[in-house]
Amino acid sequence: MADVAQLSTSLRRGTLEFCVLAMVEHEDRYGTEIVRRFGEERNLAASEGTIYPLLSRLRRVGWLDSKWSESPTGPPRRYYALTDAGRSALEHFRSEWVSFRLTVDRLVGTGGA
Amino acid sequence: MSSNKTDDAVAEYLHELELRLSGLPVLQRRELLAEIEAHITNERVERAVVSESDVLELLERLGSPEIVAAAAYEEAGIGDTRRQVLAYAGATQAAVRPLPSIPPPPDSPPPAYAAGPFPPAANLGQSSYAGYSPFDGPPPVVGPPFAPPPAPKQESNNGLRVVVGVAIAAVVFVLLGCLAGGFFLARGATVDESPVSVTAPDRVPIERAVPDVPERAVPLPTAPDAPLPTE
Repeated sequence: MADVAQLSTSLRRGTLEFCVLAMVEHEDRYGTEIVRRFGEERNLAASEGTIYPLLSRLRRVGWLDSKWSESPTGPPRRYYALTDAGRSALEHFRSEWVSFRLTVDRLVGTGGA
Repeated sequence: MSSNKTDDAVAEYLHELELRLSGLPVLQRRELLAEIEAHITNERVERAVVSESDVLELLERLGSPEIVAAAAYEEAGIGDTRRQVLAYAGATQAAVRPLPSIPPPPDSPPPAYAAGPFPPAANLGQSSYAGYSPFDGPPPVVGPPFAPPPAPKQESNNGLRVVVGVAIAAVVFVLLGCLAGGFFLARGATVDESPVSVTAPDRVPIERAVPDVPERAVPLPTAPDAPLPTE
């Protein structure tokens, strides 16, 4: 059990942040919205509270920008937007991920071809 | 009633989280706490999370304060401080421990989340616990460090006493020599009386200090050296 959990943690590390970047690629989203979206993905499921430190880091490294906006229902919302640096980082990941995935598929035998 | 309970649970959660985040830079800490609090408020308002079990489930999905704080330290690139903070949090946790009762929400079994998020969550929690469990020791460990300092002081005092004793002994011997010379010049027979009365009290500290050091050093060379050459 511990190994299974460790595997999902390891796979998530290094990929989850680009899923976050992709999530705000075309549309600004606020934190709870992003967290809810992740909550719908079983394979990516992590403790929701850990998404916020990740958002904080992505903002500190300049891949995300954030701005506050009033909410009609609750507290002010912090909307996250992809910066130019974040956009290029996402593109770089996409090309790297495709070759990475193909290599792993070929070695592990999950390619299906 | 239930709203008070749920408010208490949320306040407790945020308090526990804040305790564990004390090692973060203040702005990052404030930012994260505000985000988590806004998240809880958003969920309660926009998803009509009202009942106590629903709120507990909401907190459960967020992850325990330990897990969230561990992620915050990892994302902040703070490793050592995190251990210290967790150790501190572990100490305070003993006093304020009601939160761990949250994990089992009895009324609403959340199979959707039990399958995915919780196993890694539990794993993370264990790892963070393992991280600071050795730090629960420090309070007892703090004692020993204080013990050594007195020891060297005593040793240095002993050293001073030895030096002073030797100095006194030297002075006494010189005085004895002077006195003896004087008495020899004056009388030959009565020399023994006065020197003995003077040296008797002063040699007592000398014998305490001096023998300890030489006795250890002297027997070692004499014991092996004596038999080896003779045999």
